Amino acid sequence: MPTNTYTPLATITLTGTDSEVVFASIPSGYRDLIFSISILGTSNDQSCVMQLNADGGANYSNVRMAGWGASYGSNTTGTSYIFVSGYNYGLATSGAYTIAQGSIMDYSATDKHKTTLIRSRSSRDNGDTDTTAGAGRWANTNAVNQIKFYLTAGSFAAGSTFSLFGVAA
Amino acid sequence: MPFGLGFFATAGGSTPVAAGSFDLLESQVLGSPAANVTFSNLASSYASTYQHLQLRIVALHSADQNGKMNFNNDTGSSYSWHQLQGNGSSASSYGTGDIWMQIGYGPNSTTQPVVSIIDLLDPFETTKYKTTRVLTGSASSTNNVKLMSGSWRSTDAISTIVVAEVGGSGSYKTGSRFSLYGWKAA
Repeated sequence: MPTNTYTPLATITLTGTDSEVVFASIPSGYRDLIFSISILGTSNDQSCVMQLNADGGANYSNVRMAGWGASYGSNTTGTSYIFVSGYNYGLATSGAYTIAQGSIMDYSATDKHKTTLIRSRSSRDNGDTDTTAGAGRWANTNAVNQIKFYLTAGSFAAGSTFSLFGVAA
Repeated sequence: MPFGLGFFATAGGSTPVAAGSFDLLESQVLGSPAANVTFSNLASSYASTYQHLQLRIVALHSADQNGKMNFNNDTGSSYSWHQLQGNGSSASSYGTGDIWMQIGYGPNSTTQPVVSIIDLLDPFETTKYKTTRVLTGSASSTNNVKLMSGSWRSTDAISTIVVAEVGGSGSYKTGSRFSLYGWKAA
């Protein structure tokens, strides 16, 4: 019997600046989490990253690939967070929003590390853009109950939006 | 600023997805190792209601290797697949004809999965070949993130999907999960 899924859990639109956005007390009754963000920053050219369950330790891995103009590349930088957006370029302070959508797969399973798949498009104030696909891993078997989004420097600007969805188990 | 999820917290700007447009159809979570995972009777069960399918996989491989997928038990040279890949050092592109569609390269691990989101577009149409779109990756000893596409050169409606590791003798480990979702037709 088909089960209705893709349930909106929370949507946050900032009315002022904020250094971080935290989804807390995430219920465990879904299979995957999907997030969508559309952001500006107070500082040009920063990356958006995320931490799970308030773990700020060197417990994360990233592998990403990106294209910007006629260039492209791949790296594995970042051990204390998972990259959400910004590979060669960061985000803008006005105008073109940086966007990203990602899945946290099997987020409530307690037998495996948590793995993410994320796609993003980053824009700078001068119009430079990059498009990125990335996989991340939090080396922890705990269920995810908290997600913190923040920038590598500065704060999110007013108008930035963050949405969280649950995909049925 | 934390936003607790004991209630639905909204601050404007978001249009909810229409209820019932994306449904969980079937899910298999392995309680023991399995050489392959099969979804069957798909056309008879879902063609009248769903336009597209999505397969979401969290796989624990038995060896550092790729996964593969075929349709309707067709193991002939009926497939093509293509990938844009980043391995943490460089980005590259590759494509080939094959006897399956390749998906998800992951490590031999009990805790570090390779994850794949596979869109099967118009799987029940009998006027066109079947196409797939894949986002897959593993941040692990087999670092990779891939954008992939695939083609099955058959106009038959998809009735069976089989997923396995490419190595042939390997088995997906306990805890691997394979979930099939349907996008409803308008």
